[in-house]
Amino acid sequence: MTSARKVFANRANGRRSRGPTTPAGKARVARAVRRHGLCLPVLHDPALAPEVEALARKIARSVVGADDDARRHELACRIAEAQLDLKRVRQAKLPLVADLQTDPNAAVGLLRLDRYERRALSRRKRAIRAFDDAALKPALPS
Amino acid sequence: MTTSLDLSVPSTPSQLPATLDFLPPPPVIHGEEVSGYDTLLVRISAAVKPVDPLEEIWVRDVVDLVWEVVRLRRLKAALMRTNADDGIRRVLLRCGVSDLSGIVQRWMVREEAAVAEIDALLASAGLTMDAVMAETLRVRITDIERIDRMTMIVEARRNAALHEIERHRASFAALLRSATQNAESAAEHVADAEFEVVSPQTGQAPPGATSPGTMA
Repeated sequence: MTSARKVFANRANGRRSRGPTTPAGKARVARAVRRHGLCLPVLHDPALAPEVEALARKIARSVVGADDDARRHELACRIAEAQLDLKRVRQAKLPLVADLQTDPNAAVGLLRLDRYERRALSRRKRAIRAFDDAALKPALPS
Repeated sequence: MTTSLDLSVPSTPSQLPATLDFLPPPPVIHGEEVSGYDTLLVRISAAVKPVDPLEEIWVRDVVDLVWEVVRLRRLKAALMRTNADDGIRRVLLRCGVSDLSGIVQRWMVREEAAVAEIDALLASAGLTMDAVMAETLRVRITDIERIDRMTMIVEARRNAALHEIERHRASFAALLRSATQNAESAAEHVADAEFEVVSPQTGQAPPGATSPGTMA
C-alpha cells in the first residue's frame, strides 16, 4: 500500500506539473508554439516529410537488407525525424549565438532553446540504438 | 548612421560540397573564419573516416560542438576583457583613488601612459591585474556562469557523440564478426559436402592409400 508520505509527494508533484491554470498562463504557453515551432514534431510540416523519407532511405540503405525491412525502415524514419528536429533547433539557435557576441543576455535564450536540442538528441540516440539492435538481432545467433 | 548586419551569416560561404542536406549548415557566425571550420571538418573526417550516414551525422556533431566550445571560451575571454573597465574602476575606488576621469577609458584603449599609471597605482596598493580580473569576474559572474554552463553542456554532448560512434562501431564489428562466422560455417558445410567420406569397396584400395579419417 502506498505510504502517506508518498501520496503527499505525488500530490505535491502533481500540483506542480499540471501546467498553467490561469487564462493568461495558458495563453502564454499557447504562444510558445508559434514563436519558434520547435515543440512541434518535424512531420507537422508537410514540406519536411520528403526530407525525412529521403534521409530514412539513406540510413536504411547503409545496412544490407534493411531497406526492404519495414521495421528497420520505421526505425530509420525515427532517426531521420530526430535528426531534422535537431537541424531546426540548431538553425534557431544560430542567430542567438551571434547575438551573444554583443549581448551576454542572449545566453538566457540559448539555454531556453537547449532543452529542445537535448530532447532531439535523446530521441536520435534511442532511435539509432534501436536501429543498430534491429540490424544486429537477425545476424547474431540466438 | 548604423547599418543592419546579420551576425548569424558568415562573411564567406563554406567551400566544402554541401551534399549532406540533412545536416545543419555550418554554425559559423559573422566574424568567424569559415575556412577554419572547413579545416576542422576535413581533419576530423579524415581521422574518423565515417562509413555511413549515421557516422557522418556524428562527425558533424563533434565538429560543430568543438567549434562551439572554442567560440564559448573566446566569448568568455572577450566578456572579461570588455568589462575590465568596471573591475579596474571598482578596485581603484577601493584603493582610495577617486579621480578616475578619463584614465580608465585611456587604459581600455591601451594608452601607454594610462597603463603605466594604473600599474603604479595597483602596485602601490600591493595588487596586480589579477585583482582587476577577479573584480570583473565578480561583476559579470552571472554571465560567466551561464557561458560556463553552456560550455559544459556542449562538452558533454561532444563526449556523448564520440561514445556513440564507438558503440555504433562495436555494434558494426559484432555484425561483421557474425556475418564472417556465418559465411565460414556455410563454406564448411560446402566443403563437408564435397569431401564426404565414402566407404571403401571390398578392400580394393590401392597400396599406400590412407582413409580420409586419418588425414590431418
